[in-house]
Amino acid sequence: MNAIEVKNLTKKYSGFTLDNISFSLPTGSIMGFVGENGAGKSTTIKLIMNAIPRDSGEIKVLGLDNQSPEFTSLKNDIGIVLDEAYFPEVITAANVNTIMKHTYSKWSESTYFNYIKKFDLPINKAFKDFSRGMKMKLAIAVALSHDPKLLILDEATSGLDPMVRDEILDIFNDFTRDEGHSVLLSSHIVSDLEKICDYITFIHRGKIMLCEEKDRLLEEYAIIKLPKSAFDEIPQEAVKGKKITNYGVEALILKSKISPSFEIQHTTLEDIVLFLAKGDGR
Amino acid sequence: MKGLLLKDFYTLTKQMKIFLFIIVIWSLIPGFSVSGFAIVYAGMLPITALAYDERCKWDSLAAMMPYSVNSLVLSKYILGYILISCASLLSTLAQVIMSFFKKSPFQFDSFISIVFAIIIALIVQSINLPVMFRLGVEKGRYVYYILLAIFIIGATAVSDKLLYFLSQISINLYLLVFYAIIITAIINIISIWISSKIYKNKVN
Repeated sequence: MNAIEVKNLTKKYSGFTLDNISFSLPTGSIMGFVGENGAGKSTTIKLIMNAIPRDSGEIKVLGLDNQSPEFTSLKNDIGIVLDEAYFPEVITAANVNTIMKHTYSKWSESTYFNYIKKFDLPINKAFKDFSRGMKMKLAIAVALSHDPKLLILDEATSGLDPMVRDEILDIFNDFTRDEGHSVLLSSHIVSDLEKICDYITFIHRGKIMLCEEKDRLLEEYAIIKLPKSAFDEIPQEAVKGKKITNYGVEALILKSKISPSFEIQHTTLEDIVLFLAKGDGR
Repeated sequence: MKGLLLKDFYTLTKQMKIFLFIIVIWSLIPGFSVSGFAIVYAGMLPITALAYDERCKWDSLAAMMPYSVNSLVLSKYILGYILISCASLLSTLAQVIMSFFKKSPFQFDSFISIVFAIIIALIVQSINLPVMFRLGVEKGRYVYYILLAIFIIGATAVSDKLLYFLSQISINLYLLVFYAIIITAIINIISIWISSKIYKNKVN
């Protein structure tokens, strides 16, 4: 079963179209949803949560059509962290507990206060006096404290220092130890995604460029560095993106499409994303 | 719903302490136009709550939580009803205490004045909220100020004369109050329906 199934989803704005995208998040896994700012990540997340109307397409979340009347109640099973929507500025962490206790049917005060303690957050400080990192931590604490089956995190790690980011990524990792738990993690910090994700979906200018298992991606793609003359011998269908410099050509290639005689280098997720994003220049 | 009301309660009590204090003071001052203003002002506080929501993009977050559109809309109306009730109770209490000190019985006219203030507050709220949901507080605020100005001018100029007029005419006052309550209830139901439609059609 898939935790999220998106099929042929389209949403048009003036100047931007989320164009017929499809992807699935298998239950029990972590999917990294990567793309540049404005690529359509937040729009996709809003559509998954049925917070905005779509133009066409289908979305199922935890097996349920997200336009069915039962979906509002199903949101009890979804923990969400948004990039730039927060609690009112005078609210404190203690107030958030009281509000959420009357919002989520499975709210756990002890879990929440454990996270508050773990994240070293003040209980009675107004939200407006929180740093961005503290705000994100509070949102993550809320998302994890109502026994969710699915976590949807929109840029949840941005604005956090590397140590805290690592700590939070570990929490997400622990969360998926339960086979029924899944995570959709949107981020433009590709190194974070590379650390913990099982699947990668790359969205670029409103279109899905790839949706694959991370390990398979790293296995299928490689970097090749050649002088311009030697580069011409590479079959063009193998080249997924290239960068021409004064010293030659650096390219992202599909390993299976070139001769094993070429000297190749292992690639990173960041390389793949960058080359594919600039692929139109090849 | 309770979660939403608690959120607004925290927002208003912490940021509006001074305004709530003024409401209490207004309510304690006898006389229709002043205590009436406190009641109507209480009915405008949900707009302040909406303004704070807008500032932090609460709507976007709330849309991800298990709140239905109806509960998101209705919570603002219920907040207004609770605040109007509190201001009305305080006004009534103030007038009862004042009449005790004056050693004169609590006037029935005073009670009717409060009922009419509640009716005005409910109508003002039912006009304001759909406008705010549609235009947002920033733009909708102009409508808010216009209504506020109309009310202040109207209440100051008309209240005493209106009460005098009502006491002179032969119409049954109970019947008049009854009709006013029915009409107010209908206006509120229509307002809630319109607000829900507006909220559902909101494109983020």
